[in-house]
Amino acid sequence: MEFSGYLRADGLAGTRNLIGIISNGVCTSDAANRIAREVDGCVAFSHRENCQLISPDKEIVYRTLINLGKNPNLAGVLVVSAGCTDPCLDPLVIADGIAETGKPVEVCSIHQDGGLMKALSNGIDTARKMAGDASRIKRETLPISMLRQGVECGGSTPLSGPVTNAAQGSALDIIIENGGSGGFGETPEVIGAEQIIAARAVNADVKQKMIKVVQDYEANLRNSGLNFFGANPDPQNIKDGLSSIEEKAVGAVRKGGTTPLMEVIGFGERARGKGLFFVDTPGNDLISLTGLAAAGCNVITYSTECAVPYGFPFVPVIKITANRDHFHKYPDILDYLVDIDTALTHLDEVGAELLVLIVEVASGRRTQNEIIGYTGTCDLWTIAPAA
Amino acid sequence: MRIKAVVLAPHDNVGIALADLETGFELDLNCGEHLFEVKLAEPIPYQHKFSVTTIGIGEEIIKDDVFIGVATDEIQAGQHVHVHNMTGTRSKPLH
Repeated sequence: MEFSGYLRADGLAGTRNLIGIISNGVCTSDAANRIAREVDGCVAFSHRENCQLISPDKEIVYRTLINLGKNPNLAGVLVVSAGCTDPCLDPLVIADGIAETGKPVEVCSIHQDGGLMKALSNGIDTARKMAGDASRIKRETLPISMLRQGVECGGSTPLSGPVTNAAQGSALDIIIENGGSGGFGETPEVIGAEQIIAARAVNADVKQKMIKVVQDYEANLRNSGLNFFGANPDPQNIKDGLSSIEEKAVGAVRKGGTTPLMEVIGFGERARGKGLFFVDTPGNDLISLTGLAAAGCNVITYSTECAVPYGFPFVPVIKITANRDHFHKYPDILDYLVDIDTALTHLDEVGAELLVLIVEVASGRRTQNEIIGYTGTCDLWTIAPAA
Repeated sequence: MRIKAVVLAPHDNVGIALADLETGFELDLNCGEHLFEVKLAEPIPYQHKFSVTTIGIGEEIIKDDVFIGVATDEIQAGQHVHVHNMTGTRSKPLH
C-alpha cells in the first residue's frame, strides 16, 4: 500500500510541505505568528517558555523545538529570536539541530535586525523565499512504511476504548505490520493499564521503562497533594459512565493497537525506529499532540466523543468519533464516524476503512481543521514550578 | 437491529449499555462461548455499566478482561455499576 508524500533529505516522508516559523521563546511568539500569517505555506509553532528555564526543562524545551523542526512535514524552518544571549535558548543551537536533517533553516533576530518592525519585515521576506523554494518539491509515491501515525484521544466515554480507540489501533496495526511506525502518549491516562502495554514490550528494558514512566507520573500526582479524581477521569467522563482512572486507561490504551511496544521515549524526543512507541506526555491533549509531532509523527488520528475543536500547526489531525449526533452537528470539526456495531463485531473492517482515510489525508486531502485553518494553538511541556 | 448492550470479554462481570435501557429490560448477551442472561434491575444510561452477575463488597470489577476497580457495595445482576458502588484503587474521590 502506498501514499503520495514528500521525500526529505534525511530519508523521512512528509505528508505536508510547510515552512515552520518557530519562536525560541515567548518574546518572539507573536512575531512568529505574524510572520506565518503573512506568507502562504507557513505555520507558526509559538509557545510561552522564556529565559528563566532551568534544567531539566531547558533540555526538554531545546529538544522539543529541535525535534518539532525536524518533523518531515516541514520543508524548512525559520527560527525567530529576540536576540538575547544566555540564558535564553540559543536560536543557533535550535537551527543547527534542525539542520542535521538537511532541510533549509534560517534565523531572524529582533535585536540584530534593528527592531521589531525590521525583524518582521526580514522574517516575512525570508519566509516568502523559503515557501517559494518548498513549493517546487513534488509529491511522489511512497510506501506506507514511511507513515508514522500518532494516536490521540480526548473527551473519552466508555465506548471510546472498544470503538474509536480500537479503530485507531486497528489502523495503526496495519501500518506497523507493513513496516511503518506510530505511537501514543498521555501517561496519566495509562495509570491502571500500564501492565497491558508493558506485557507487549519487546524486551525487559522497554518493559521496565514503560512501568516506570507511569509510576513516576502517579508518584508526582500523589506528592502534589492534589485530588486526582475529578480531573482524570473528569466530571464529563464520569457523567458518561467512566467510573475510575483504571477504566479510562483500559480504553485509552486500545488506541495503541496490538503490536509489540518497541520504544518508550521522553517528551520532546524523537522515536528512533519502526513499530510502536510510547511518549511520556501529560494528559493535556494539546501538549500530547506536540509530543507526537516531536516524536516524528507525520499524521495523527484523534478520537473525540465530545468534538474537541483544535488541530496542530503542521501535522494533519484526523478527528474520529462514535457519536453520530456530534458527527452531524459538527461537520467542521469531525472527519470520520465510526459505526459502533461494526467496530464491536468487525473491527478489522473499520480499521481498514480508517486507513484509507489516513492514506488520503497523508496524500494531501485536508482535514476539517486544515480546511478552516483551525490549527494555530500549540503548547509544550515543562516540569519545574515557574521560577 | 442495533445491538443494545455488549459484554467485551468472556470473564467480565459488567456489560455496557449501547442505548438508554429501561428497568426490566431482558438481555441475552453472547461473548465467546459465554451467554449472559440479564434482566435489568434499574435504568441503565447509554454507555454505562451494569452487572451481569452478583458482585460482593471488595470484589474486583472486570471489564474488557481488565481490573477497573472494586465493588464498594454488594451489586446484584442487572444493577447499575458506577461511582456509587465501585471505586478505582489508583485514585479515589474525596469524601
